Amino acid sequence: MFAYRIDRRSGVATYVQLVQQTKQALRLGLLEPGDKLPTAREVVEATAINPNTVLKAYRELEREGLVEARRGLGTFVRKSLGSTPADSPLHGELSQWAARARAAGLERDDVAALFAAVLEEQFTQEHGPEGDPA
Amino acid sequence: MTDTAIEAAALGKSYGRRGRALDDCSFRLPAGRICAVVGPNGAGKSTLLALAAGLIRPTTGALTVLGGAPADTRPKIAYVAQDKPLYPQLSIADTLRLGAELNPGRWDAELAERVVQEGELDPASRVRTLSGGQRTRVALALALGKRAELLLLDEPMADLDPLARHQLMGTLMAQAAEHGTTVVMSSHIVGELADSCDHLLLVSGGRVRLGGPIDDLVDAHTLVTGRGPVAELAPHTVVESRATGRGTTALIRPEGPVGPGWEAQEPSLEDLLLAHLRSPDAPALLTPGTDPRTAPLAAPLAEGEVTV
Amino acid sequence: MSSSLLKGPRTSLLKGPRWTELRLHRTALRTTLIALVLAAAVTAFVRWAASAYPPVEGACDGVCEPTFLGFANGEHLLGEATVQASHALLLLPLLIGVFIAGPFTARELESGTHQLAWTQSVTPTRWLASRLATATTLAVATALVLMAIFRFGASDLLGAWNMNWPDRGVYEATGPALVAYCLFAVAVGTLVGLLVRRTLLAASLTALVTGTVLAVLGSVRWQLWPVVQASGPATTMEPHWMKVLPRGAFMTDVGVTNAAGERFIARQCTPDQMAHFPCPSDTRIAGWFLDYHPRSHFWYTQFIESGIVLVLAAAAAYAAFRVLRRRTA
Repeated sequence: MFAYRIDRRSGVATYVQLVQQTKQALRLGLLEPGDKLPTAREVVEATAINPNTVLKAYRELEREGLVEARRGLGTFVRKSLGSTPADSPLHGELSQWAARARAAGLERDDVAALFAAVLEEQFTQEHGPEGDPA
Repeated sequence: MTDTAIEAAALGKSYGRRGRALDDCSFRLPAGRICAVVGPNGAGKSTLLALAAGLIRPTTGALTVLGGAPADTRPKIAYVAQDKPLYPQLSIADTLRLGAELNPGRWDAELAERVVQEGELDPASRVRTLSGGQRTRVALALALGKRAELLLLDEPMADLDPLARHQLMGTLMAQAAEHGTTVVMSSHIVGELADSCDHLLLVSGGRVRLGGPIDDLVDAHTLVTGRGPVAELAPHTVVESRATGRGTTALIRPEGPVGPGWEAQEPSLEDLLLAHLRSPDAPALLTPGTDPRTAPLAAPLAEGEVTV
Repeated sequence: MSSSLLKGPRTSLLKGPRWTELRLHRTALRTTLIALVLAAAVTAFVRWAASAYPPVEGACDGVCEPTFLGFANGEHLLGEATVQASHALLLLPLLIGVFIAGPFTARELESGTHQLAWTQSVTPTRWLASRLATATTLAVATALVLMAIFRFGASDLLGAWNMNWPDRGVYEATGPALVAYCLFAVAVGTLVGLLVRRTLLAASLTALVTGTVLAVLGSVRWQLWPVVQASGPATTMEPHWMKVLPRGAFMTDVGVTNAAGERFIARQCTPDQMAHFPCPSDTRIAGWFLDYHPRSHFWYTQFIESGIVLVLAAAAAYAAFRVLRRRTA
């Protein structure tokens, strides 16, 4: 059974953590299309979080087309999140950029922080955790 | 089944010469919520819960619980008092039997026994030999076994170790998820309830200061920092303002965009609670669904209308 | 109540609040049961001793040598024990009151377990009604059993051995009055327990109230029913005087009257008036009088006294319900 783990100190909203962990599981192949997500009852029993938080996360995943709720049966994975192929041009560019950063004397943590900052910049506006602007 | 779990109208309770414990409290708690009743010690939280449980009679005002008077809805309400009172001479098994005897037709023996078993308690051991946390577990087992529609828990987690706290809160949440149980928990520590609760009642000085869904309450406030004087924030309701360095930090309820020169931030739940506790004169805020003056009263929702 | 009965299959008698009350006070019930068995056993032994060690005719003259357990004989022991038992029975209402007020009622409120009891599916009113019913049943049962044991022990001693029907203890223990006092103790104990909410204080107060009522009614009970009055002219004094008193009658007053019919006591007023005694101005004896309750008045006074006590008990029980209803929703 797929299990969620809530980090109370991360500062990330609980339902966002659920969404992220589900996506991570999809990327890693821990969840595949047709798999059933744990019920809200199972999640809250294990994590002691509010049931509505689980429902909110599942609604978000459903809105993104990743899962679907079937009445009386549960929530099921609809499609997987394919990982980015290793031979894609994006991978090559990123690889080159990382090599340059290293050559410039940046530590591994510096690179990671820089990358996270850029990600934040690029993805916050249209895909923030607050969901759809409508 | 009604859509309102608790509705208080100008509720007040005074204890003789000891003064008023609650004063003119009006609020509405929709059914199905996990509500945290937060406030400093002696704020009136316990009084509020005891009133809802039908243990005491209000001095003024009225209280409706699950659509009826607390006295009439008693079988649908479970209550765990702050001191977790249990009969010391009974064994755990007999304590659960007591639950079965006094709640005929409702009692869920399997659930109650499971809660006890999860704490690795011997059903034959006497209540007087239990630790504080173990007593809490038995008291919660008794409350859960009743299969109530409304669970009123006064400081339920205070005596529990982190593992038991997590486990019991999980069991509570599972009950709520499965049966739509409304849970009202009081605490003077916000952190222990923040993840589990979706609704908040901040009580202090015998009054309800904040009431509503936690997300809505947080959204209704903005934390602003700026160099200008507080007067610049005039159009907004300023809950609390404090001098920080050369400037001012204030928690406000914005009425429109905040002027230039002020940096706005989303406050945390803790910011919200502390600001209100530090400023007893700040006006109370009840979100529309929880203010009995704006919420649909006892009238049932029309067909097709969306539940809040 | 035996434990096997409490642990056995659910019967209609042992469920709901009643099960709770009996289970919570199992120790007290067991103690009571043991005490009753002990009382019966001791009574049987003393009666056996009385028949096995009868007084030997002419064995002693004046002061007798103890021959049996420090008593002159078995019959002497029986007599002493029965007199003591008749006094001890007066303590029963006090004991019941102390238990009901303290451990049964006030302790619930003192330790907070009432918050548990009143938030189950049973309303506080039903909670109170159920425990009053249980306590009443057990109190009446205990009183009746003890009275039966007393009767068995004292069967041929009543009327002899300083145990006349109007004596304190004997009077209560041989009629409905004792049962009424036990019921009063249950009701008052419940009321005081609810009001005071402190185990020891409630128990002491209830003992005080019950004892006072026992004492006060015990002293006025002979005024509850009119006495029979006998009188005659001074000339008939010598032959009649005490002879009009029927067998077993309880004399409440005796004396002489003057020509105006004023009562006084001859010895106190003639030939000279003794200090501190009321005497009429005319102290010439014209006749005599005698007030008494014949044996037949027993039931009248018993029923009137029991009636008064039961009315007080009902008032206390009603007040207990009022207190509870005012306090809880």
